[in-house]
This record gives sequence, C-alpha cells and structure tokens, in this order.
Amino acid sequence: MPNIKLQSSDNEVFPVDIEIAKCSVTIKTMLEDLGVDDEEEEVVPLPNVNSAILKKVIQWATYHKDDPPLPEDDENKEKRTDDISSWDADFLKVDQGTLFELILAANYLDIKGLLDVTCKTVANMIKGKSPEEIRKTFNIKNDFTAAEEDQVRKENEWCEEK
Amino acid sequence: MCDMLQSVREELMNLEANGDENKDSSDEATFENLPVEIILTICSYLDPYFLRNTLSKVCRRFADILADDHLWKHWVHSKIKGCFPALLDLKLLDEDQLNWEDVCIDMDVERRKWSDVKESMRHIVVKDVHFASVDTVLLVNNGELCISGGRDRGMALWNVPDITPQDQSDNAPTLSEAKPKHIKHDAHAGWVWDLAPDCIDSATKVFSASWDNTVKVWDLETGFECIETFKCGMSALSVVSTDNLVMAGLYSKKILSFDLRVGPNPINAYKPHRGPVLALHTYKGMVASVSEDKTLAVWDKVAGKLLTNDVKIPTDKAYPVCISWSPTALYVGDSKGSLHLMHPEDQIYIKSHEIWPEPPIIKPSSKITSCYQSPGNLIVCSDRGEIKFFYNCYPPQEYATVKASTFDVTQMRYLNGVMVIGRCDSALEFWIPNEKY
Repeated sequence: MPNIKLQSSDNEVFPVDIEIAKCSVTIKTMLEDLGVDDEEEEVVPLPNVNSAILKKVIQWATYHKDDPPLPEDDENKEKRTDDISSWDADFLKVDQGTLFELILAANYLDIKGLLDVTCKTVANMIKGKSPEEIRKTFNIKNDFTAAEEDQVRKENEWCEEK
Repeated sequence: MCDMLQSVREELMNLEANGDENKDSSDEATFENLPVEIILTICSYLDPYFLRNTLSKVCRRFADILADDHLWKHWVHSKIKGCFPALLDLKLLDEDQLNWEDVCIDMDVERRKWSDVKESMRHIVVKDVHFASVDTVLLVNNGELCISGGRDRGMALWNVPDITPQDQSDNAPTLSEAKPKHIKHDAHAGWVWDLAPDCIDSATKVFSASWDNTVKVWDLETGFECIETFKCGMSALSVVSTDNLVMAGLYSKKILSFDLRVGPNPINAYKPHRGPVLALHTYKGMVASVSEDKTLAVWDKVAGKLLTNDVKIPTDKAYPVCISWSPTALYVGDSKGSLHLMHPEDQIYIKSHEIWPEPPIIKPSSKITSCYQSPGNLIVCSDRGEIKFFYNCYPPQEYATVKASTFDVTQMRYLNGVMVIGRCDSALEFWIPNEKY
C-alpha cells in the first residue's frame, strides 16, 4: 500500500496509508488537485493540527477505514445522538480540550464521520442541562448583564407558569 | 552591570513566557469559541425548544448565533417537503412578519408529542355525564377548562386538571370517573350544537348555539349561570364571538349579530348564503362563514359589511362543514374528507387536498368535523375517529395519526396541548399532556 506523509503543526511526520488519509476530503482533494504521483512520497503539511491530535485522527481513520460511506443527510429524520458505537465512545473519553481540538481537526480535514460523532458527543454533554450547568460543564462565563439576566428569569417564570 | 542585564533578560523572558501562556489559553479550543458552523452542527442534534430556552441563555455568543431568523427559517425548510407557508404571495412574508423561530419550535414540539402519544399523553374517556350525543366541545383558558353540550339539551363545565385516570393501567384510553364542575341538564330546549368563548385565553363567558332558536350566554365566573338568551328566530347552527359581538349562523341562511350590552335582540343581520350556515370562524375582526350552498363569505365587523361572498368551494357532492383561518392559510373542510385552501388575505379559492380519499361506494366517507391551525401545524379530525397531524405546509405533510376509541366523532378542539373530542355515544375523549410544554 502506498503511504503518504502527514506533517503536523509541530513538525512531526506521520506516514499513513494513502487510502486512510483520503477519508479526509481536504487531503483527498489536495492530492487530486496536485495530481500526486504514487511513486514519490509526498509530505502534506497540516499547519492547523498538532501531533497529539493528528495521532488521534489517524487512529480514528484507521479503525473506520472500511466503514461504508455515510448515508446522505436526511434532515427529515430525527437526528439521534444515542447511536455512538462503543469503540467511538471509548475513543472519545478524552479531556474537553482534546475533544474540541478533534472537532476543529475533523472540520478542517473535512472528515464527516468524525465530525458527526464528536458533535454528537458534545450534544450529549449539553442535553438536559440548565444554562448554569452548561456554563459549569464547559467553563463558560456568564456575560449577560444583570438586566438581561432579569429578563431571562422573567421569561423562564412565564414559561413555567405556562 | 552584568547582573543587571541578566535580571532584565530574565524578566523579559518571564514576561514572554507569561505572554505565551496567555496566548495559549485564549487559543485553546473551547465550546464557546468554536466556529459558528460547528456550533450549528452541534445544535442540529438538539431540539429547537431546548436551543431557544436553554442554550441561548448560556452566554451572549450563543444567544447571538441563535437569534438569527435565517437559521430558524432554514431549519423549518429542512423539515418539510412541501411549501411553507402554504402560499408564498402573502403580504405577511413581504413584511417579514412570520416568526420562524416560533414556527420551528411549534413544529418540533407538536411532532414529538403526537408521534409518541402513549408516552406524552394521558388518553382518557369520560362517560355517563351526558346521556345523548355530545355534539359540541370547547376548550378555553390554556386548556384548563372544557365545556360540552349535547343532544340531551344539557351542558357541562369541566375542570381539565380534575380529569384523571381511574386506574394506572397501561390500557389506553382509560376511563375517568371525573365529574363536571357544573352541569346544566336543561341548558336549552333543543340540541346544543356549537359553543364559543368571549375570549379563548381568559374566558369569562361562553355562548351556546342551539336548535331551540336561541344562543345563550353562560357566565363562567358565577357558577355557570345563564345570563342572557339571544333570540334567533331559527335554529342556530354555529356561533362565534369577537370583542363585544356575538354572531350566530342560522339554518335560515342568515347570520345575526348580538351585543350583550344591548339585550336579547339582534343588532344586525345579513344573508350571504342561499342555504343553511354550517360554520363560522373569526379572524382579525372578520367573520368567515360557509354554507350548504358550497360558498364562503367574509364579513368585516369593523366596516359592518360583506367583504366578499359567493366564493365557490368546489366540493363536488360534499358540502363545507368547518373553517380554520390563520395568518398563513384559510382552510375549509368538507363532508367527504377534503380540505380546500383559500388565500388568507384575499379569500380567493386556491386548491383542494384530499385528506381522506373517498372510499369505494359501499363504505362511508370521512367528514372533516374540525380543523385547527397553529403557526407550524395543522390538525384535522374526521367523524370516523381519526385525527391527523401535519406540518402546516402545502401539501400538508403528515407526521402522526391518532385514533379515537370510537367511530363517531362530532367535534374536536385543541388548545395548548390538550385535545378533546365529542362522541355520538355520549362520551367525551381527552388527550392531556403528561408533561406541560
């Protein structure tokens, strides 16, 4: 199998099976546009992905290399978040920083499967929580003014009464 | 000197290091600083109600992202296959008056509820209060009060929260032994055929139309007493109220207006039809009527004149029996299962849609007894006991069907999550949400 070399932002080089690398639409397009010759081993620089994340992405892509292509998004169908495979669930048992870096990498590299499963994981972390709990979970600062907060509280009371 | 340089250098390096640290922390990927398109992808896994009421309250950035009307419009269009709103040449759209956020949430909340009735609803039948067909039902005050009237000439006032299942069995529907708050056995001297409130959100009075040639006024605040009897001179088949005006559609083709402050005699009468008036509906100071003559007429209450009449409804062998008028569509339901779409702003007939296709000749067809519209949804009930739920697009996009436990339904009303139907076998059937939305 021909390999391709992916270079992370911190200059680490990862040799990867070209078919696995092509699960990234970004890399696939790049290779097609450049008409890369299979003979010579290209180094593809990925300035937006560091080595730790790139390693994870390659690990994910390697495990999923034989997955059937994802079905077209049917917006009519209810989007489920409870269908994450146990391998993916284990794979995503990481700290929040890594999870969000993975999302950014999946977005940049255009790997739909990985983007879907990471976004689902975040959605599951949010579901059923109150605004305050969400702030706590993700360390988000409440940047509403006191007046705005009051407004929100009133709206909520109205909702509950209703 | 050397020492001094050394210390300055160290300080600079420290500063730089600190600077780097700061830079690192601001560069660190967090939920809050993800690009918009990713936040939206995450949002696509959460329900619209949660997005509006929880996520947008977390911080200003989320609030700003979710305040975009285009986003909600996109979500609405991604749900539906047909055209929403049903008609596109609406002034409402030109003036940008459609609240897409409300539409989106309304669609999502109702679909979730009615696609899973077993979980979301208590389905309850109340028997043995009326002793003949319950021909009319009404819900007011956020679905907390229900009024029923029937062929037994009686009327009952129900406190909906009191209607609880007799037992906790999983059988649906369950019976309830709930008794009405008030019952009037001889409310009228004829069948009670239609009901209307003075104000649906905070009703203090209810009007009942009857075959005894009267419309009666019932005070909800003083124990359901009759405080006035409007004289119609002919059977009253339908009644509506707008501001101080009560309007009754008669068997004799006429529509009468009454004012409670004036007394029992009509203050106005008009005759827009050539056959009995079968249904009335009010919308923004206008009163729409349909008749056995298969036409629609619209009365402008403020101007005190007919806006339009003789609008033909191509019902073939059927006749129009109910009206639902919203800012985005005016629907007329007929006695053979079709809905007829009229333009809500200029009341021109547009097209028809079969909800229940006409069955082979030996089988009875389905009459549309009632039709209800909310910003995003359309609910249609047949006399055969089927209630269908649609997104309010064109053609209507069905997402759920609920079956009543009877084949003879007289009227359906829906308000704030509560649905009630009147039944020919003298019972009422309720769907009451388990969890208030």
